[in-house]
Amino acid sequence: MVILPDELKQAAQALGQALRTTDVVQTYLDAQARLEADPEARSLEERLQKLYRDLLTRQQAGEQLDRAEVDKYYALLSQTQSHPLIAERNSALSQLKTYFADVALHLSYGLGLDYTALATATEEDGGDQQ
Amino acid sequence: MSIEKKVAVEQSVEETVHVLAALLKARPEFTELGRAAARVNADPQFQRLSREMRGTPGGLQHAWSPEQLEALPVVQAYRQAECSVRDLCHALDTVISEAAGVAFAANAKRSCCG
Repeated sequence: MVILPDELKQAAQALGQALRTTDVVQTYLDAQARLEADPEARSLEERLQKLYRDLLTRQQAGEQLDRAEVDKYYALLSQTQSHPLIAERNSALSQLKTYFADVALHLSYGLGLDYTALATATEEDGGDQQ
Repeated sequence: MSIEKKVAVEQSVEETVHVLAALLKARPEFTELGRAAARVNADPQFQRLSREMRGTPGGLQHAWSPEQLEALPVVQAYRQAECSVRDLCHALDTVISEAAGVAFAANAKRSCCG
């Protein structure tokens, strides 16, 4: 567990707080909050995520998935993506990702290293970051 | 949000990115990674093996595997330095993400599908 020096921790907090005040992040957080406050939208997402995890687990275990089950997944995916609150959140998330990728790129230029690759790498990833 | 406020917010993001990058670059973990990379590139054995592994004319088989390249002491030292920088970036990202209210690096990854 890395203990960050105060100066670095404060700089990271300052960046996070600055990001939070942007329109892009506020729009996303508001859309996510509206989604979470709606039982129907929340239930749709939870059902979709559970179905996806179940199918993925079975497929990774070597099971050949039934066509009907895959079609059921895509039908639920379509229903979920059509829900207005989910569509609104997804649109806001898409814009947020574009913005974050740009900010991270600036950070990477400043570092001379790929910050995103380093911050999201796992033990299994290995490979050159430079 | 007014245009003036938007500009101020964006400048704030830029400034904090600049400050964070400068502080990170000055960290021993980052300077050590740079030195470790330079040592790898200057290592004659690494140079020879990686040239051999990039292929020889006529598709001749070479005696070295990627695992053997990774086992070289200079490469091991580089991987260790890389691991330290990775851990530092993970820890930083947790702080940035908590303050932002949303995961930063995970949402900064560019995908081929957009």
